[in-house]
Amino acid sequence: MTRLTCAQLDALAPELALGILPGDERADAVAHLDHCRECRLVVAELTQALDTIVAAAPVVGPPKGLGRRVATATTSTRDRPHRRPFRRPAALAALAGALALTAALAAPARDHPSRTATGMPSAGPAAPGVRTAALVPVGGERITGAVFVQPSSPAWVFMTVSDDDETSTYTCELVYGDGHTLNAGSVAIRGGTGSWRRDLPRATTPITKVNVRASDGTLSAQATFG
Amino acid sequence: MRRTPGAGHGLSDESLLTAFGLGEPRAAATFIDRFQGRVYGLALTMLGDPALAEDVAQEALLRAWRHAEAYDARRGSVVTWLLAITRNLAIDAVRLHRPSPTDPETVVALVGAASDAGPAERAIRADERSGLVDALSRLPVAQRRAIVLAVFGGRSAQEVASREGIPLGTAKTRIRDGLIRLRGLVDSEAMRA
Repeated sequence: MTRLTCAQLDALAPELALGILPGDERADAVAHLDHCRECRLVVAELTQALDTIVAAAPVVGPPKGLGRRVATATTSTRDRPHRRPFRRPAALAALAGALALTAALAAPARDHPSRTATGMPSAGPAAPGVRTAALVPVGGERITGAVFVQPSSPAWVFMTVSDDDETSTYTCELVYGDGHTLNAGSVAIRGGTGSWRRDLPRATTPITKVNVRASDGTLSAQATFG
Repeated sequence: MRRTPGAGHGLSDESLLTAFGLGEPRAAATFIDRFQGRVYGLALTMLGDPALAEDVAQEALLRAWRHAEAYDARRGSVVTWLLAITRNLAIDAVRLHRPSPTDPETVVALVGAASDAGPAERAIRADERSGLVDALSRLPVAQRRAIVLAVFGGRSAQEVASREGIPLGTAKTRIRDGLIRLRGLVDSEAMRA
């Protein structure tokens, strides 16, 4: 690791703020920031500039289905991430408030509007009729997750994945009740997690399994629908 | 306490994120409703591909759910945190699908296209549509190209220098000056709106 001067850090500050600094330079820069408040302020100002620019990007309504898939995945118990205890006082206070809000939100729901007041397609509650199955690792692999299938039109399959391997790519294979299979694309794992979805063609038989295969074709995980 | 205007039950963004992280269904729906347009809009701006942008937006919202307890209000707003997640995922996607930097003017056009909201997309807040586009158009060309490559393309200064055929030091200067100048332009656009 190279010890940087403030002048050297200043030259790297914009890239550091933008998250585009190569790994070794980043390590050197972070080490300098650990001990230099003035340079931290310089980077903070550039980071705020980036945040302002990014926040000015257009607001665009996503395609229908995105919100419902995410809502389905995040309210299912099958892929709940392990939660560390909240330690920071502010986080504990927020948690207490959120629990109180959760109780308030548990009041009987009215019909959920299909669009919000801003015209955005509404996520709504998890779509009824969605079938879910846990993704179970096979043969010593460490990939886990959950698979969600909406069989009715518009039919889709959606998967959330966690993997000990920070960066990897898997292919997804759908197995139908009549035995035929469909290679349905790939899911990329970045930072240990990933998600994947695909619109489904009309089928006469339901999906019975989803196979997740490594790049060499080895079966890494499987979800089975009862 | 920050509250993003729009859909929702009047809950603060922070409280909503906490409840979302706990998997509370109505909080999940509200959180997604409140932020999906911004997340998808940024992803579409950076990628120009609606399907790819949808995948990135989806993963960004899932990561917010997975890592809700990691959010620290002292570092910035929920929106800032969420858009940072989105931008990082979009950069990964850009690098995966476009290993060579795209022409910066193409990316500027993507920003404009996302703002103009073609038939497949819906611009929700017309007053925000052109702010970034106008601000970018007011940058000197050289700075605009460098900023677009770095901010929206995730390219390093070395890659910007190679793409533009300029010395590394010049690329760094353009990125720094462009960043500061663009922020000022965006702020002034916001004040005019």
